[in-house]
Amino acid sequence: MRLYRYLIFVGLFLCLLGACERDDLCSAGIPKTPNLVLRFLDANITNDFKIVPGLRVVYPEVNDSLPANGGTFANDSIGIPLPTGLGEFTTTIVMVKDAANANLRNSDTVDIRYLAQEVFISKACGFKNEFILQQITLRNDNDNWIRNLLITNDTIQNEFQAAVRIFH
Amino acid sequence: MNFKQRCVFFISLSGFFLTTSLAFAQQGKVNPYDTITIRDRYGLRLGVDLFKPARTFLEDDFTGFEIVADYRLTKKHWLAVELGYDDRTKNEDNSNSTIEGSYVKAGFDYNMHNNWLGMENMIYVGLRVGVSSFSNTLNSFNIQSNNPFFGEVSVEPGTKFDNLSAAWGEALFGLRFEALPNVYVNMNIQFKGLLNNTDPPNFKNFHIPGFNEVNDFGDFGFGFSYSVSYFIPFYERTREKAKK
Repeated sequence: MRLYRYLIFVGLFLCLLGACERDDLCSAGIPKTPNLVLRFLDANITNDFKIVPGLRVVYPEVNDSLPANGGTFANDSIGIPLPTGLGEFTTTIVMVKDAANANLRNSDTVDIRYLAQEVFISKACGFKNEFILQQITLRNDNDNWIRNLLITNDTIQNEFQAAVRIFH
Repeated sequence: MNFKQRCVFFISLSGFFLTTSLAFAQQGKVNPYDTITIRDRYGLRLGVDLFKPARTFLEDDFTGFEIVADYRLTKKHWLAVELGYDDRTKNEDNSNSTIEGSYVKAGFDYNMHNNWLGMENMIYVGLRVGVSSFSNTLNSFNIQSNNPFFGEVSVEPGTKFDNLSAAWGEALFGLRFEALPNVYVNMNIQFKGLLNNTDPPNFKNFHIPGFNEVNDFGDFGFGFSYSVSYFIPFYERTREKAKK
């Protein structure tokens, strides 16, 4: 019967529809939660960038450090990840200068207080964080290699701009 | 003789009358074919969709139902309305959300099928306008980072966004046949285009009740319905004969 022939066509079409798998995977090129960009400047000469020799960034809370050159954009700036989530966070980082040299090694501890907000990216990628820096403080250890810290951009939405200037 | 055989017999008989009458017509006699009147039944068809309850039974993250109704306007046009409810949890790679709400669709069907005498099957095309009112609850999501040093953090805010709405148009193609006296089986596929959609702030609707899946890459959607309905005849109307 003619009707049944139509039914078979409709059935076949539906099978084809069902076979379509979605392929909306989250691409690696899409910007996600930005790193905190720190920029190192000379404490004596204003607006002069200054490299930190043998810099290593340690997160004592997770007992781990960034891999060598991990997150480095240039010699005088570094992008470091902040723990993600929702709400207010305080995280501690230890910045080690001359980490490879036992005689010169100097560790400075910095506390970063910030707000983390969620921002929707896409169906495939889900969400990312944007941060609002509230406070960044240097712990005094009588032998600080860091002289001063300054928040220059407290709203961190991308990695195009340095958020904190570190004078040394 | 069953119903179909009767139809065939009836039509062949009328064909016989037609040919013989042509011979007699010139002699000024009454054409017997003209005396056959075709009476169409008009009324309301009420039914339920079976596809959604089947999905409710088979899938853990879907609950839904749909009531369908259509009313015959002319020989070929039917007014059609669908009322439904969806509760769907979308478990995506990086988010989990639940969309819950109801919808109504209204439009008409046009029967393209020329039935044998006495049969009331349809091969039809239709147009609908649909509106939906729903809520979207963001159960959990993952936060992605440029630097995966801390790993992926998952949070469960459970934020519920109420009073969301959407509107869409759809074109459909379907079949409807009388399986038992007055009992019709209907199936159709729907091609939908989103006209309006209120996404929650800082999130998206991945499903819209009645519209179904919302894609990242376009405002179109698909649907499928398999329903069973019962025809309640209200009155009969004699079909106008074709002019000679």
